[in-house]
Amino acid sequence: MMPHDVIKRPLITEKTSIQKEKLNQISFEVDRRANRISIKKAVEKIFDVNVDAVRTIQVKGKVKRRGLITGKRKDWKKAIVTLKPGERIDFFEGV
Amino acid sequence: MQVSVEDINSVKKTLHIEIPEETVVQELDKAYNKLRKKAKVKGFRTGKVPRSVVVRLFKKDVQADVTSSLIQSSFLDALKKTDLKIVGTPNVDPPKLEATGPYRYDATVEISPELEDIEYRGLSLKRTNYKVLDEEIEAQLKMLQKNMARHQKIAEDRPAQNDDFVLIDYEGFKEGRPFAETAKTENFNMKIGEGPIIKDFDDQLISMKPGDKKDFEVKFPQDYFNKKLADLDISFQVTLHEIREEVFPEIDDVLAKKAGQYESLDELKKAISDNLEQGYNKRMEQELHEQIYKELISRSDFELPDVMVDMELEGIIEEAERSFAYRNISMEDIGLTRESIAEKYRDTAAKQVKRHVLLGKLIDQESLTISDDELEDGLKEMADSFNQPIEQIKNYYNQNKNKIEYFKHTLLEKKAIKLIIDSSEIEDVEPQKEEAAAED
Repeated sequence: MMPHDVIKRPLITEKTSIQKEKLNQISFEVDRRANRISIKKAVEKIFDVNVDAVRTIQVKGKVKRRGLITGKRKDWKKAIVTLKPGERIDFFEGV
Repeated sequence: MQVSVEDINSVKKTLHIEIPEETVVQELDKAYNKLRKKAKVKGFRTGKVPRSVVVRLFKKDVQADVTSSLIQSSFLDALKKTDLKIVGTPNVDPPKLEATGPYRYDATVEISPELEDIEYRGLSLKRTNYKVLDEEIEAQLKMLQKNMARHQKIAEDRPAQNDDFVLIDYEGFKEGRPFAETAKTENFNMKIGEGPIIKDFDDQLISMKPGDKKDFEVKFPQDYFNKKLADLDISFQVTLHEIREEVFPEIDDVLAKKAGQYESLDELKKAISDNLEQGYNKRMEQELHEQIYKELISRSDFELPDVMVDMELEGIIEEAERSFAYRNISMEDIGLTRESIAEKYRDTAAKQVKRHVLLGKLIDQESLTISDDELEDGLKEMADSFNQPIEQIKNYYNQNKNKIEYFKHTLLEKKAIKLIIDSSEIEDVEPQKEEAAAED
């Protein structure tokens, strides 16, 4: 898989902002098939940084209902990437 | 803040303005902080969005806002510092605002012309004394008489002749069939010899008697004004009902009463002569003013800012539009556009602006003011000319406070002109004959 197929988009929320400030961690939505190693490689390639560690989480899509009809948002994979000290990523044009 | 002024011409300047970095940063901070409190961004609660995110999302908007507010405030300051009186809106082409470093921009402004004191005394002016002549009154009466003429059936029994008015029915046929352009028309009143249809038609009517019927053929020429009839042979059937003649009323008290609210002929004559005299007085005044302006402009010429001319021009065009609208025609119908009018009247507008500037200067120079009494008189005069009670006029101005300033200014200008006339030498001249005839 090409690096751009692995990483779908960065996640920018209050939580990730704090992680970025305090822990030098960046979060992405990634392809569900990707593993920590391929994510690490992809991030290093796209953003030209050194990655310290990657943690991944399977995020379950929420079940949404409207009256009797229930639906489910799709599940996805989140990756929290820790950068080596001193490295940083300046966002963003969207990947 | 630093300002430097560059002259382009006497009424056009470019201001180079530089705003120091601190001010820029301060303003930007203020704007971002304000925005942060309100911005709604997905993934963040309202008010918790970090500055970096806000900057990334709203940079363009914020910069545009800050730029315009910076320019506004600094421009006003710059004006105070440089002590320029600008007219119209400044022309600013703002460069992009950077997050750091001072902000520089240029503003092109136009200022009202600075005039030297005007020496207005001792102009020698010529005043033409127009007099109302008896012949003119006679002519007006004749015209009135003609307007009030009635058509009357002639008493004698005679055939129609030239200059008679006849009442006819007519119908035209093209190749034996009724034709739309000459459909049957009843009780058509026409004067023989004027040829409302065509001269040949009139000729055929001569020597017909009331009650007569006649069939005849008329050939319309190729260049006939009605294209649908041009170059056609039309056969007409005409019935003549009545021969009439024009009866002019006597010029006497009866006519005077009919013409309006006049008791007698003398009164009517007086009204006519008053009317003429008013016109002449106005003309005299205008000619005097014309001379004054010409003289003053030659004494102190100056350049005019374009905006002032444009503004005046706008007024002229609006006036024209209004008067066209009043007559229920649009300018486009008669082939005029705003642009063509603007081009045509640009000189006039410039002239008018010059006059206003000159008079304005004179008002300053002599520190003329309008007292309450004078204002009252002015309003009264206006009330008379509009035929409205003075209270109504006053009411109007009470509701429109800025209009009254404008009106006061008009009065001031009048006063200034009067001052010029009073301190000029006026030579009375007799009107030249041909000029008198040119009236009306």
